[in-house]
Amino acid sequence: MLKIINLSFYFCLILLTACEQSMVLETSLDIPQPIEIKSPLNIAILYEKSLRDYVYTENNDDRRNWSITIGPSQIEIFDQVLPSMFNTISTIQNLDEAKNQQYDAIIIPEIKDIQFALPNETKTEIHETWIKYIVHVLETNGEIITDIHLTGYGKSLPNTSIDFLLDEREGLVISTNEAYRDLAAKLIVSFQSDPAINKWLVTRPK
Amino acid sequence: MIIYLSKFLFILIIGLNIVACNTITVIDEHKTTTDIQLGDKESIVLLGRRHLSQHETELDYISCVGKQLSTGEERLNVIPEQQFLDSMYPYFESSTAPMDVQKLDKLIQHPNISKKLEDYKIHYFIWIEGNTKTIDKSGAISCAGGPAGCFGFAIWEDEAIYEAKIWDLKSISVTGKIHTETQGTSFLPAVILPIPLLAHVKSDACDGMATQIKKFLN
Repeated sequence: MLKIINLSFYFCLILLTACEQSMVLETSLDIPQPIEIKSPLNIAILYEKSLRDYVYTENNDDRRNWSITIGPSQIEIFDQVLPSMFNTISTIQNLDEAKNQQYDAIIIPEIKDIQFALPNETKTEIHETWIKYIVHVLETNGEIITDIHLTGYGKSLPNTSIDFLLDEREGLVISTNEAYRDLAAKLIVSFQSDPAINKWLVTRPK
Repeated sequence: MIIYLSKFLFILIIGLNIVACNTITVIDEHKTTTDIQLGDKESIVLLGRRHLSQHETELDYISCVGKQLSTGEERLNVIPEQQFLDSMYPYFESSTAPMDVQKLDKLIQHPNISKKLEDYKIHYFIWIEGNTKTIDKSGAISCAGGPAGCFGFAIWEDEAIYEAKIWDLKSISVTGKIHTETQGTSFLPAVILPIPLLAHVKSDACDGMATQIKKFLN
């Protein structure tokens, strides 16, 4: 009799664990190598701790124990994209490090917000991701050249599968990678067309 | 009684099938020049417009038209859309792609971009805008569990509207436009089992567009 009670207890525990839809995910980057169009600039990039360690967390009735690690992917985006845009790229640990070096400008990326939409929330069959960024562009003396505001958007293809637990994860991975692709594309094009950067390029001392 | 019902259902399904299989396609073409020639070794690239999230051109429609153009008589060299987008990254993404020929002209001033386009031997860009959607639906089907199965009747009408704009990369100009509109009605009668009788609106729109692009470029 005791055995049956014990077995029932473990069975209920397994059921409860299965119902707890936690989401622990680390996003990865899969975007094409950009075509090189380089500005003749030597750039220092500062990845602040808040970006490197960025983890999106949420815990409510619809999104139980969500923990999506996105920081490392952000570093990958800039590491992959910036060499196609500038002459040289160096990573610095703080602003002081840039002072006595021959850099032309400093870039500090900052995530402002990240949002996800699930099929049951939007009454569609797709997962969606938005990433909002401010890319601070500074002179080596710390003066701001411009702040570039970017929003990367991505969505998964329509989900028609019945394997919903697996698709929740897959859908988010796909939509987030599409958002990274969009963000990186906008980053490259914005640097080439931003009026403040173009003005600074013309007026800066050479 | 059962024989009469079976006969009635058989005639109804055949009748609906004939009606449902019918789609109507209207094609309109506008050429801005008569000097349209695609060399044997030259290519075209077919790209969907996706800058407005509610009106995105479907990936499968673009690949359907591409497949039709690259097979059969008078086949064309078509560069697959995803391959082109990846190799030209980030300049033809939905949020960064040139919206007019002047912007394309500006883009090809960069030697690395023009070199890639030359490697592909692209003569014409074909931008397709539009999509297929359900414009009307009525009726209802209810399904009970067990042997009773489903009973009811549903009907819906799909509309596919697409416009192709053809850009000449050599002369940096708009060569012409092709507009297609396809409509069709689908039925879903259900007596125990639902039997879908579908109008193939999107695939007929794809056939119509591909045939017209071939005529346009040959």
